[in-house]
Amino acid sequence: MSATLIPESASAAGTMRRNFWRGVWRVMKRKPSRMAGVVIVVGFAFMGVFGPMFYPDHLPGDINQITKPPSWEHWFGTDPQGRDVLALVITGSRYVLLCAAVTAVITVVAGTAIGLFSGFKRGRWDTVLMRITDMKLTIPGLPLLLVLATVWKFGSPMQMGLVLGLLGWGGVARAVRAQTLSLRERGFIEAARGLGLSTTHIVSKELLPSMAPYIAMNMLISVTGAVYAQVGLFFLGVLPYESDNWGVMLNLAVFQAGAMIQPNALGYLLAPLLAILLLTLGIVLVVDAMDEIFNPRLREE
Amino acid sequence: MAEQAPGVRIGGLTVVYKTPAGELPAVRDVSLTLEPGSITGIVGESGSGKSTLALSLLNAVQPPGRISAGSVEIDGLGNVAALKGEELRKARGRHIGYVFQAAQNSLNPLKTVGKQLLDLGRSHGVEDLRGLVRDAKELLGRMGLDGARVLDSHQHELSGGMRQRVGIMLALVLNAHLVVLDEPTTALDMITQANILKIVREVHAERGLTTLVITHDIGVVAEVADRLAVMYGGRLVEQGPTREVLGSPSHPYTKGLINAIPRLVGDIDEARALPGRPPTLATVPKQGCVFRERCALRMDVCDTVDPEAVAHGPRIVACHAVTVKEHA
Repeated sequence: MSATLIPESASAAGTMRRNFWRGVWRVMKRKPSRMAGVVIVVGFAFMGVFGPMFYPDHLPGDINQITKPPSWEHWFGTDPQGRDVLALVITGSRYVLLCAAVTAVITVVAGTAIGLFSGFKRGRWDTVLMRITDMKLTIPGLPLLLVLATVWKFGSPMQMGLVLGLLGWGGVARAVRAQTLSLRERGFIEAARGLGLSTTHIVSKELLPSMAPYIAMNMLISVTGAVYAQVGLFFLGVLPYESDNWGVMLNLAVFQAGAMIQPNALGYLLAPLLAILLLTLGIVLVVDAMDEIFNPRLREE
Repeated sequence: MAEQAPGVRIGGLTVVYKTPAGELPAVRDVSLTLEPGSITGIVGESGSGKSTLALSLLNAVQPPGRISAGSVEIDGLGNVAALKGEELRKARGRHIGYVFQAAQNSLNPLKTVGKQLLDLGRSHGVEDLRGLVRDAKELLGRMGLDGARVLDSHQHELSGGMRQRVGIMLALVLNAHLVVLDEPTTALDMITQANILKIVREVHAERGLTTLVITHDIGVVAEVADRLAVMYGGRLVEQGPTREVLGSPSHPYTKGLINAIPRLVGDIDEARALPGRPPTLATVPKQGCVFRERCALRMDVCDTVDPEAVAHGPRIVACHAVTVKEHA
């Protein structure tokens, strides 16, 4: 047996890393829908970062083109001020996406950290943290946002994301804790401890990857939740129209352009809805791929 | 290697578990010596405290359990029961190799065996990772596996027996000289069982290890162990050289265990199951002998006085009846 040893060309660690990216590529290739998902998500990211740069700060309105239906010149028509709806969607995306990203990061980081710590440490800290989580979970989100809207203008997406994130980590923390409690009793965690691997290693390299798809799933929920929540707030009109974004568009489409009764304004109403739909779809498809990337069992040919 | 086959002296070890009914001992006042270079087997029924005893060699009894008294002296390490934090972590894996009960489940399902091996190496500050991989391949080769293929496999791509061998490899690869095997052959078929035991014996002899095998299968112990210790209700009731203990058991529990094994020849009814059932943590008698409820040789003194472990030649037995007989 030992005679068959082949001298290794590259360091073992290097091989592992390459295998990981090759695995990712294979997972992507398996289902074209995943590619589509990645393209959509990357596209939205690009749109959020660079999109507004292509347009002036104040979009020019054409008074001869007020509330027009979709045409070749204006793909989704124009708004009551004669502005191109597509341009509005693009310039409005930054606020929505930045807010969603901030929410996702806060939700996932805070939720995962608190859940992992609670589940792994157990004991007194677990009790304290979980009671705090319970209390947080009892805070009704929408009413609180409505109240906050009377005080804050939510002009900056960071502010909005922060509030939504702080409202959203509770569920993730609970879920991650439950998952940690179940995983920490598994044989391979016990074995890792018995073989003298450090706690940091066990938590970050053994527990966390096992939960990655789970956390990704929760991130998806919180991102879409964040998008709906802020768009909803703007749509309801409880927030001042400080900035261009999809929620403001929906509000104006319905209440100003009268999209419900006027077919000409339909494009104005549908464009932001379509954007939200596409974004959600993209994230769902990426999460699907994520599941397979982290679970080698699903990766089998 | 400077360190060779360490001896282990367990003295008066008591491990308690915290329950609503107070702290109950799973292992009570156990003293056991593992001679350097020997294979010791511990047998006992489920729940007799075998695994708890083995875990305390690593000082890895999980809460709500804790070592409440006694010491575990390992040559070159000192009292493991008093070790803490980093020191304890370093001792595990490097000095004490532990093959877990159901080692089939002790691999991370998300990582290849090789990746886990490297993790292990890095955690213990191994400089020469390539050398570690080479050692692992060689060990796997010794156990009849294709090292390169196994290291490149995930847990689900290996059979139960292969995983068990991987578990043994991980316990040995850092050159630990004290190896604890907790139920190494449970849930394996007879052929794989025999293979694993052969490997244990060979590796033991080759590397000069001190080995502790925990099992409920007397056949396994008879196969590999030099010394045998029998546990019942958290106590060590009898220990001695395997041949002697199996050939002429003196504690009534050991006798009962051996009588319960069906013979290859003769009437199947000759095998007699021990009457009654083993005590659980909650039903273990607080005072007196733990075995008296099922004992044929029960005396009055058994109800009140816990029998001392008394040496009779190379054998140590904890039983009033035996002590009385020996001294009569």
